[in-house]
Amino acid sequence: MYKNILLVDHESNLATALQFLLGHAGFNVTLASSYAEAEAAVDGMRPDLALIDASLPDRSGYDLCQALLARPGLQHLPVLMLTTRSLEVEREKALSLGATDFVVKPFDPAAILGRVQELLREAA
Amino acid sequence: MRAFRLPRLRKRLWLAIGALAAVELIAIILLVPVHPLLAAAAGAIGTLGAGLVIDRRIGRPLVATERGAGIIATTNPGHRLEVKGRHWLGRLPETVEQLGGAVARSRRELEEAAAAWTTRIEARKTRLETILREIREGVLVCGPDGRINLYNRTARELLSAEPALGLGRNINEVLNEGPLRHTLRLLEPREDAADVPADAELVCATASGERLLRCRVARLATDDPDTAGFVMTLQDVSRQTRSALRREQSLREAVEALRNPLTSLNTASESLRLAQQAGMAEDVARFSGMINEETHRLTEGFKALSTETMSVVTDNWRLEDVHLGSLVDGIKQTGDSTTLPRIQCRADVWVSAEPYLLSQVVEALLARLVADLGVSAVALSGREEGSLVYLEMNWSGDVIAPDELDEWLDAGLEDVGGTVTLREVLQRHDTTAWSQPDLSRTGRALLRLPLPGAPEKVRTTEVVPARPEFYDFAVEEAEPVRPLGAEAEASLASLDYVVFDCETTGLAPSQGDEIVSIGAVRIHRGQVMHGETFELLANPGRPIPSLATSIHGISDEDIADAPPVEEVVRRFHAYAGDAVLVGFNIAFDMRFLRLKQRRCDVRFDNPTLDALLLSILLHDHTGEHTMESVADRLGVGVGGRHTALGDSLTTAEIFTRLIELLPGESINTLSEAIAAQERMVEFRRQQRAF
Repeated sequence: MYKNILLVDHESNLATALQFLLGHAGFNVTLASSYAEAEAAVDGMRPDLALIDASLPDRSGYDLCQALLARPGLQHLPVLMLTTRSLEVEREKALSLGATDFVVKPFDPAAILGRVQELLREAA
Repeated sequence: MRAFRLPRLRKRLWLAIGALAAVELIAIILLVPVHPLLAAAAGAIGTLGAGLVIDRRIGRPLVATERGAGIIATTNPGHRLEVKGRHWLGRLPETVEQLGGAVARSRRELEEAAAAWTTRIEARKTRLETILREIREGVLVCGPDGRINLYNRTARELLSAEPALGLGRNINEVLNEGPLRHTLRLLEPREDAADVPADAELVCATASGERLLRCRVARLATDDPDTAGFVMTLQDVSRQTRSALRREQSLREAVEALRNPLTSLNTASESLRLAQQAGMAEDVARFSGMINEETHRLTEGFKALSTETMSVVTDNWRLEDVHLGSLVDGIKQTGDSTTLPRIQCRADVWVSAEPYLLSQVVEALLARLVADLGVSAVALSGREEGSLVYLEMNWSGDVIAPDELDEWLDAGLEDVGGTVTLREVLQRHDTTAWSQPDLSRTGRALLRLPLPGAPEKVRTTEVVPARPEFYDFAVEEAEPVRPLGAEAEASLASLDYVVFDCETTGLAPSQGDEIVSIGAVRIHRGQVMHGETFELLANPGRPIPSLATSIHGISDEDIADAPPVEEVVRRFHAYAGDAVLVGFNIAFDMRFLRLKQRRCDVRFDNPTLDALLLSILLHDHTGEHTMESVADRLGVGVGGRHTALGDSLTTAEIFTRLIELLPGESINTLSEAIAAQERMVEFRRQQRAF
């Protein structure tokens, strides 16, 4: 059975390419480019994992992380935060606000794929 | 017969008494038998008349001579006695004036002798002052209690926004107290003296928060309590700090801006590979387009990062106001004369530049003119045009070919290790240089170098007519001053004073008249501190009547951009601190200030002294007490009359002479001076009642 991944990033090229890679690896990827779009998308799906960029155009990615985890049935949703900020405090902040892991851009696509699979295994 | 040898004064006195006695004797002989009462009346009128004559001819001239002698003996040996009309004092006034001349001569001789001794001390002092002036950092020397004993010109410029800066004022009024106190504690001598550092560095804001300063503080290690304290150097790091923060932010943003395109590039490349493997032509084209797009973004991001990196180098250069003529003089004095042409310089203009690097550029260009073009003499000039100053080198010969000039500009500056080119220095000053023929003189060529101009350094003071005298005694009663404390018994010469004057829109503050200007100067240990003046125009928030403008010369246009009165009063309050306030007819000025107290949230409860009242007290032999006549009497030059600062400076000079005279009236302390002044107020009030 295909796993559902919610990918939230306003970098359209990155989101499209990542969607292609994840789809090629057998995942069902739903794209959103903002907090609002992500909220709307989750109303029609049940993600198994979320990849969220920390800097969304309308609100912070951390807000979205917390909002998703507050939804019924999603308390244990694995969330992988993507960020351009390499500060150690960003990692602390992400983990404190409920994210499962934290990846600084630029990243190796293969590594992200591996990490996604790992998180889904752990969640299962 | 002895009476015939009497001096003229006594002879006249006895003649008057004799005449009176004779008249009274005749009157008694003739009138007593007729009417005894008439005889008595005639006798009384005769006595009164004689008294009036004696007072007019002897009493009044004697008092004027006594007062004048006091002035001659203490402050102004050249003073001319104010003895009016005929008198019986003979040559006494002339003799007193001759004595004054003799005193003046003796004083001159003494001064000449003293001058010889002080020359050596002055030379040392001048040397110290020169060193302090040339030090690029601000320097402040404070006593152990934090009172400022000395500061240099740079410190004054750095702390120009701090009205409390002045000799005798506390450093805590000028700099943010906390960091300095902490640092001084670190430097306090302790038993484990080995651990006490010799100096320490701190960064602290000025009291107004206008600047951020990096300070190095060292305690003055001395056994003499008079010279103990601490010395500190000041360096403005406001710009550097702001600049560093901005640079840091820009660099971070520039680096972060590279992360997304890099990630997209990586991901799109991987996707492209997979799409190619799967033979998905449409996706191959899509990801190829993405790669192109992200490569372009990366290139743009790299350019931004590169620019920021460049600014890291050049932002550390500090632009200062530099006098171009002085800079060229420096090159002439310190440059290698064998490589430089003869320089004729006319450049009395100021530029905003990094002084050392600019002088290196000018020197390098001059040397190139000699070495490459064989120029032997250069006329160097500075000319202001708008916000720029054109530095022009003019010589007899050909222009510099563009390629050749490019080569000169791209060469490194030897004195800074060749790491910075002339062009980089010019770019930092937002400028470049070019060569062209001198169109006004054939056979001559120019090298033009526009530089950012610096603000005008010299301001001229307008001279305007006088303000009318104004008396008001009620205000002093209504506004009690703070208890005097220890300063009550302090000698007048040892106190700190702030002498001030206000120019206003009119004479009635209670009817809406406002301050339009405040000028002030400090007196510290009897010295008028010409370098510690206060002068601000204030916007009164109402039109200035033309009558007022005709008096002080300040028009609506002048105050259009001035701060509001409340702001100026607050700044003056900070400038005045706890000093004794002094004015000429100070009640007038105090009334304006005190009516502003509540709105400004300040309180002017300083003790006050009035130079006008003190002059009346000391020189009651004359009714001439205008500022000009008092200044003339005391040998004070009147400069900048009718401006707030000009009048303050004149009043200050008058006041310093008045406090030298006050001990002659047994007035030595502040409390005695205030008491005497209050007696004068009472006296004037009674005079007014009549």
